[in-house]
Amino acid sequence: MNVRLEIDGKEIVAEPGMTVLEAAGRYGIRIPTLCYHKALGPYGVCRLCIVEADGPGLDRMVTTSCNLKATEGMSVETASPRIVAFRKTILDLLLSATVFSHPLNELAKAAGIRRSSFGTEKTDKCILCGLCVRVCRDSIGADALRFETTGENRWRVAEKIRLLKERCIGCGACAAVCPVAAIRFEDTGPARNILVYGDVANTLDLVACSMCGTPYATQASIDSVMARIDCELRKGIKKLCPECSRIIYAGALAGGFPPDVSGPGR
Amino acid sequence: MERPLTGSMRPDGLPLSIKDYEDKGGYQAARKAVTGMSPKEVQDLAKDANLRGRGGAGFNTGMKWSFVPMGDSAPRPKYFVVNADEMEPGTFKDRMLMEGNPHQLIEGTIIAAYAIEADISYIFLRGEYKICEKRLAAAIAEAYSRHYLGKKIFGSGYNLEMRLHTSAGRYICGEETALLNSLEGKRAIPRARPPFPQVSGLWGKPTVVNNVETLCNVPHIINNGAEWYKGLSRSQYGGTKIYGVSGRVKTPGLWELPMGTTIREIIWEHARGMREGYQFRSVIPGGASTEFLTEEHLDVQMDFDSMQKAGSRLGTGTMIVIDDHTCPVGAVHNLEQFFARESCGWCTPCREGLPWIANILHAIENGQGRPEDLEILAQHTDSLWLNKTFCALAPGAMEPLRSALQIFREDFIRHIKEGKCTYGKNGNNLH
Repeated sequence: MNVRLEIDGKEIVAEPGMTVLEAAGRYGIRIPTLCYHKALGPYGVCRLCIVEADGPGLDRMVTTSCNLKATEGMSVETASPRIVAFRKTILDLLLSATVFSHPLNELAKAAGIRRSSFGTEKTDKCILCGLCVRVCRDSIGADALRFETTGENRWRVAEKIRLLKERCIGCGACAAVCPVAAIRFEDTGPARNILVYGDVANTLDLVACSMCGTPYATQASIDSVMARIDCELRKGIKKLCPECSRIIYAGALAGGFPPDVSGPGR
Repeated sequence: MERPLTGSMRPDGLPLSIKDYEDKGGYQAARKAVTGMSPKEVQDLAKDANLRGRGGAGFNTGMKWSFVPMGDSAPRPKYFVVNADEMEPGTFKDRMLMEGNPHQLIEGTIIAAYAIEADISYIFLRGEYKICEKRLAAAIAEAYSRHYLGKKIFGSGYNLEMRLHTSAGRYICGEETALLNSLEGKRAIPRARPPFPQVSGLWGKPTVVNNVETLCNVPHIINNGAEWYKGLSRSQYGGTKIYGVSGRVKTPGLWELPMGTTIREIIWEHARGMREGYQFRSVIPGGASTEFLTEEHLDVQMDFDSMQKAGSRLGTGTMIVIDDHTCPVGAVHNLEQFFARESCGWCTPCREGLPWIANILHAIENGQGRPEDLEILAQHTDSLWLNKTFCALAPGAMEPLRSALQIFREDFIRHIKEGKCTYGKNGNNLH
């Protein structure tokens, strides 16, 4: 049964099991978050998505909306004065722990922060949200990214992110989920560089597209995808770069199925 | 005055052997529970006795057990974990209980594990407790040799294995879900709740985590009943409590006293008052993560409700006394430095916030504080409060700071105005 609740005074109908963050998003109410990704689910670490929830047994509880299940009769405020003040502190702390990055700076500006109150110590953009570690371990299965700490901070969960070269398959999922672009990848001709905090952490060879010959993906990432596909289906799959596969499959939609992959290239 | 937990301990501090322990009635309760009572009856008895968790949060122990799925359809194996990772600054009560009478803990664990029909029990012991480790390991071996552990214990159909695990040493491991992660061989980071460990704990199976002192109470409740247990106490909560005092008092130490003994009685009768030349100024009543109390609270009873009413918490019941020669700013800085170091670094406010708090306190203590720093500290005590952070570590760290900012406000202001600490070099430590 659907659940009815109120978010910022708006009547909302959520599906059973939905979180407040998801329900709000569906109605265009934007709750800021940095560590949530829909492919990975809630994590509750950045604490930016904090809201004030009232209702049976809640008593104006302040809690993160990413792991708060929407329940019947709940009333949620996403920007009450104390929530806004708390978010400002979090952003202030994150700013003081990182160098300039886009979403963070925009969030800070929106919160009215001109300059960090705490001065900057770190030299990278990483906010230690853990999305790259989780996507690599839980979704991709490569487990090539780790939280790392050194020296005096060795007991912490994380001080920085480290890439294990021998496990990395060069798929680029980490760069895709990183909210602050602390991890990026660059394709330079036949090779792909994975950059962690701006330094090249790994370089892998790229395989050429079977139609146009453009290097487009690493062998290891192709193998990893193939290994997940049913062996019957696997036979029909051709190695295509995104551009060629777009042309082929768009053509297939116009001209019938199955697509003719052996046809002429561009 | 009855002292069930410590009364049978040897005066020389050596542990009771299994023979000594049995001569004093040991393992009778476990035998009675396992062979003569149903798990439900054990749970109900603990509930009736109003036994509260002694680790700090004070949750009703029987209630905690009752959340575990029971019967044949329950997921197996079920786990019972003893939280012996005592790392709260100023707290050393569990060590005394384990060193002096390891069998009491084992017996309590057998009964509690039976109450939730657990198959395997773990004692998660603080790594630095080397003497406890040796004595517990020997005691567990003794219990196995008499078939009090293992298969078909006491001739019943109940099986229970027990393993001793020594922690690699982090304060956060005392948090029940971080402890479970650590026990699984993962990083000690807290887990999101729900699911609660009683439903999905160690390796996703139903698990109960209880404090050492809590479990040591269990055999005595089984032996003597709920009414007797409630009668031991001076408040509505059952039993006795191990209270401790550290700081500049004449005889720092631990005493088993009725639950609800006043702070004044503990400090002046049992710890025999302040040392010559030192005046009482303030006290942190329950380990480092509780709020400071002052002279006006000395007649408050040390139990869960009364302490809450006085604006603090019972916590672990082991207090740190602050005297008039100790710089309160330095003392708070010392505590916050500990919490900043022990933050697991998982969530933003705790990882980034606590080091800044420690930095600001360091600056104030060394005469480099700015007037606006007090405002920033006050703001942080609010933003690191319950539910705003992932677990209770940062809120716990804010409790002493929040109260210090009120009680010792003048000291903070004087440090900032005069640009130095006025307590001299002795003022910096908590000894």
